[in-house]
Amino acid sequence: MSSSESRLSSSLGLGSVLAVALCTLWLALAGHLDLYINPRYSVFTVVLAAVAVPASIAGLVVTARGHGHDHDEGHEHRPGGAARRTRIVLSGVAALVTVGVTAAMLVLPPTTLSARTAQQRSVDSATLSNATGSQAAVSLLGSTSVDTSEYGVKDWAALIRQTTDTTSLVGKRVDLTGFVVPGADGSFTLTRFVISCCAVDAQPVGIGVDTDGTVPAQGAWVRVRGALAANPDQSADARIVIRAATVRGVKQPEDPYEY
Amino acid sequence: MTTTTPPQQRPTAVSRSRSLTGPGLVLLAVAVLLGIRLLSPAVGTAGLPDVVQDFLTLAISVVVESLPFVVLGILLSIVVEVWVPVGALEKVLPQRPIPRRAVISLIGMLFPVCECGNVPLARGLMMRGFTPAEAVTFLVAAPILNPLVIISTAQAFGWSGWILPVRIVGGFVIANLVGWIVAAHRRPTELLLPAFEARCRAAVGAPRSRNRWRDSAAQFGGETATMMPALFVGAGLAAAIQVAVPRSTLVSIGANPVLSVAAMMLLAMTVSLCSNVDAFFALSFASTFLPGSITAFLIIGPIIDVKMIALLRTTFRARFLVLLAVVCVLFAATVGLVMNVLV
Repeated sequence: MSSSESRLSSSLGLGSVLAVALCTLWLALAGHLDLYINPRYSVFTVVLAAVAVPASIAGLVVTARGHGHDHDEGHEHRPGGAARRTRIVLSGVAALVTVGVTAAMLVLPPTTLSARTAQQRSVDSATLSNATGSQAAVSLLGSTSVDTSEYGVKDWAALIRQTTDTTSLVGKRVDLTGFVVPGADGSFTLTRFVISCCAVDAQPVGIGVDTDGTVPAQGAWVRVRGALAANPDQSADARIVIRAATVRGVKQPEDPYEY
Repeated sequence: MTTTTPPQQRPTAVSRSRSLTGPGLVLLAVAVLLGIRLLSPAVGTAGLPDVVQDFLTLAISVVVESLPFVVLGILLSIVVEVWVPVGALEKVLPQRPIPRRAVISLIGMLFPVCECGNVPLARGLMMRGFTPAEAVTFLVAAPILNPLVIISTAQAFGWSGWILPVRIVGGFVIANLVGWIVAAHRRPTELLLPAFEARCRAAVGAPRSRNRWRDSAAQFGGETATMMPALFVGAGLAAAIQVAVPRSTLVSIGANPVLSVAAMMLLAMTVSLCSNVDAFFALSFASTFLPGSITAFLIIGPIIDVKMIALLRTTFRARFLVLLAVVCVLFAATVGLVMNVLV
């Protein structure tokens, strides 16, 4: 590889760091970093992004002045022929992916994962997570002193799965917001994604909703008010559903994920 | 350029103008993209199909999550290579190979970097003159034996129970096992890519230049050129697998003591989570998977996954990756199965 090619790949590496770091800072300022990572890591991410910006600009300046290191490929004793061609094609593909994803990150507006992914990751199946960190002590549920007004979809879903005696739950009033994953006739699953690190690990959690009205479109955000009730479908894994008094369409919340 | 210019000077002038346009163009492209970002709507959908949109969201989230660790790893590798005086690190280490590697595997306690940051750091160690066996020991141990990972695992699973101690001891054992195997190799340097090996040979013992800041900036450029495309490819692969393979097929294997170990290990290798946080993710499966399967997930995930393979390919030959994968998969599976039977 000639020194100008080496310089090109240095520029590509540094440019992608700079672009991703600047975009991270913008996301943090605009309050949308939550769409990609758990807020727990925001400070760390922002600090390192702020370090990466001057570092990559310094790298670009040094590269422009021609003091850049030749990086690895520069010294290769090539066998020539097919192996070399494969290598060139592979690094070309890698460069394309780098440019493509970087450009997509900057040009496309950030958004949440779709209901399609929720469905594919099996919302509310019996095998799914229930230990995503709900602190509620199940034994306390019988008493009315437990404040459940702050409970999200995750907390209720965890409670429903942990409770062996479901009668203690029946009749509890709930007021929850989530998106719709349609189920069998007249029902849907009120769903939220729970993120422990970043969107890749997003786990859908949900509670079945039983309603007399029409089931809203897949992926629509709704606010459901009602009370917990025994699931009319006896064969289902979940023994408790929300018997909905009202299902109202709402705007997607500022932070669509739970943690 | 006039006709009186001697011909041999011409290439210099041409390459200088080209050298200025490369980085200049990059800066311009970044500025234009950022401008579009600031002018276009802040959030929303671009009207892409769900599959494409989710693929991009997942890939970007892996990049956003990993970039700080990669940057931190590169910065630490610059410190190790350019700033720490020659011999300072080597002096404190034992001389005999096995205790030496055992101490190296604990160095991770000082570097709170997860696996993607460890690749540049291990490269920096080799360019200082560490043997491949020593660098590999560090590479395998550090993402498990580091303070952040231990704390987050303890937060998720508590100090009691078997998962945390088995993860810590298992990480130490597998790292030294892999290091021992590499050291026993006839010519360990043959496991490195020839290009990287040549660069190490050139770097070790070479006189340090006086301008360390310029060296650091150049080193930052060189390492990002190698690591960033690998990171993007790894993120792309992880996202593509997430979009294409329904997670429910893996998760439904849950309760079988043998298959659940395999399922959790496959999940770890495809999700490609950072080891600093993988414990919280594993926790969400704690109710349906046996503890041995969770532990196998926590041991294999930091060492081998699709993102790591892309990153390791920048430095090691494919035959080393096969060796590493086989040894680590067998080890993690054994630990997981034994735990499922005994605990």
